[in-house]
Order: sequence, then C-alpha cells, then structure tokens
Amino acid sequence: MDAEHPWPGEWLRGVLEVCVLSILADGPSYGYAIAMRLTESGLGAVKGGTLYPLLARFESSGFVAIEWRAGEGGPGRKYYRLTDDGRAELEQSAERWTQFARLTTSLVASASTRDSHDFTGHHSEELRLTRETSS
Amino acid sequence: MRMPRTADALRYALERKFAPHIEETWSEAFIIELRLIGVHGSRIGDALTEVDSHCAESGSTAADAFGDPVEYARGLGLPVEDDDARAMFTAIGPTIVQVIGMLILVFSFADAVRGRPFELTIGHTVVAALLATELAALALAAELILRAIVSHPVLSWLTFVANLGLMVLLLVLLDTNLARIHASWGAGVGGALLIAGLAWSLTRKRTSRWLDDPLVAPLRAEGPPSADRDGAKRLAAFLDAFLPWQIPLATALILAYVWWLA
Repeated sequence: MDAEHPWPGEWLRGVLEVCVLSILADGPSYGYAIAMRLTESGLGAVKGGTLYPLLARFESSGFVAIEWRAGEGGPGRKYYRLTDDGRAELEQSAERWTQFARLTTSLVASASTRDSHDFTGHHSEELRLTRETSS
Repeated sequence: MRMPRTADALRYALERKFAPHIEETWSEAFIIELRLIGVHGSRIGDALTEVDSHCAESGSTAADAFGDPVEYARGLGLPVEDDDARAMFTAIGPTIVQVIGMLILVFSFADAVRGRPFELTIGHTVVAALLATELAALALAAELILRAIVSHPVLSWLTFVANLGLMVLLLVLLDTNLARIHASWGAGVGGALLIAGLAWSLTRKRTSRWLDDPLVAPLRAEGPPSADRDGAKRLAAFLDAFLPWQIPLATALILAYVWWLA
C-alpha cells in the first residue's frame, strides 16, 4: 500500500464529496488546507486536479459561498464557506453514505467470516484425513 | 529552442503577473483553453490565482498538482459567456460591411481618377463573396478557427497567405465583365458602405462590451493606479478607440497610393 495514495482512486472519488463537505462544516477553509485535512485524516494525498473541480461544482451548485482573503506574505486564498444548501446536502449525503458504508461493511464482514469458517473447516478436514492415514 | 529573455518576458508578462509561482507554459495553456471555451476574464483570473496559491503553499509544480492544464481547465466546468452565433455575427458584421465597402471603393477609385467607367468583373464579385463568407465563418466558428491557429500557427499563416494569393489570382483570371457602371457611382457606393460600417462599429462599441474582457485578479489592490498600470490603461484605451478606424485608414492609404500612381 502506497503511503501517499493508500486507497484506490475509485473509492476516493465516491467518498470525496461528502468528506470535503464535512471538513467545510467545521468552518470556512481554502483548497490547500482542505487537501491537508484529507491527507491527515488518512485518505492520502488528493491532487489539486481532483479537489478543485469538486469545489468549483460546489460553487456552481450553491453549496458554498466564496471569499478571497489576502494570504500571509503569499498570494491570496479562496475561502469556501458552507451555505444552508450545502449543509442540507451534507446531511443528506452523510446519511446516505453511512447507510451505504454499513451495508458494505456488513457484506464484506460476513464474507470475511464465511471465508475464515471455510478455511477452518477445510483445515480441520485435512487434519482428520492426515490423522486417519497415519494411524 | 530557448527564446531570448526579452521575448520571453513579453510573451509571459500576463502569466508572470497573475501566477508568479507556477510554470509560465502551464499558465499560458490554461488561459488559452479557458479563453477558447469562452470563460469570462474575471473567472479565469480567479481560477489561475487559486492554482498559484495552492502551488505557492504546497511547493509543488502546477503540472504535478493539477496535471495537464487543458484537461484541468475543461474539468473545472466554469460557466461560459453567452457567445451565441448571433452575438458573434453582430460583433463582426460592421467589419464585413467595411471590407466590402473598401473593395468596391478601391476597385472603382482608380477608374474614377482616370475618367474611365468601372467594369465589374466576375472576379470582383467572387472575391467579395469569398471574403464575406470567410468573415462570417470566422464569426460563426470562432472557437474552432482560433484553436487551429493556436495549435498550428505556421500552417495558419501559410493558409492566410495562400488565401490572399487565391484572391489575387481570381481577380486576374476571372476578368469577364458583368456590368459597366460610372466609376464615381462605384466609388460613392463603396464609400457609403465604408462609412455605414464605421458608424455601425462606433455605435456598437458604445452599446456592447463584447470584446472588453480582460483577465482580472480576485484580490486587486485598491488605491491610486501605478504609473505603469496607468500607461498600460492609456495604451489599451487608445488601441480600443483605434480599432473601428483601421479599415477606413487602410483604405485612405490605398486610395492615396492609387492617386499617386495615376
């Protein structure tokens, strides 16, 4: 597993929207800071080419309001603040994502348990045969 | 091939001004793509400054963080200006009228000076129709044509020269007379079309700001403009005011030359 990209890209694309909305729910933030929060949370490095088009979509959908603030000695920063529409979207997405995650977790967990049972069963059978043969 | 430093500075002046922390070639391709799509200048300035800000803080290059500039520009899905065919046609209409007026005036002026009647040939009408069609196509398929010019500048220049050569050839070869009119009538009609095109252009300039769409940085410093910015503004205003007059001025020069030859 790559430390910079710990998860498959298609998994991240599915979950990125709700994650970024959740980060913005904590208060206004700008692109680079959001990218850092995502990395720190264990999702890995999210490229600007993935993050900013998503923020642009939020802007055109009215989920965020924009404010440019002067940077500290550097170029300005574009701050994104969650609007009421954005909060409603977050609530809906978060609820659906939680349901989806619960479903997939239970499915994957049951498959994993079944596999482990199968393996244990198969292993026991092998042992029994070995014992019978040796005796 | 590395460009000389001055040429380099001139070519990338805009990119260096708006995005000093990222690769100039990346910024150039990004701006051109957004311009071709039809995104407003203020939105381009906004998107470019955001890339610059990200790269300045992360220390990464634009190519590393954002990938291919053209793909990134398209992926942003920024809203585009209302540049439908009608608006484009209205923008270039005055130029078409002026060019046709210029052709009729120039063709008939030499005969008027010599006191001969103006002989309208098939070549004259074909060239006028070809030119009007080309200008209309330029208005209607501006994005496609501009994209071709940006991607293949040398080929575009050769096409332009070949087109000019074709027009001269048509004038020479298709010399069958269609009509014979008094040369001063031709000069009068040509002059009237030229003036009408100029008047249309000046009126439209006052009512439309279609071409006036500069790149705008999101955090422009408030306060009195610097001498440099003031000078640049004056130059831009002069060029803007000069634009509708360029065809009438070119016509006047050609007519003066024809007069001098006669």
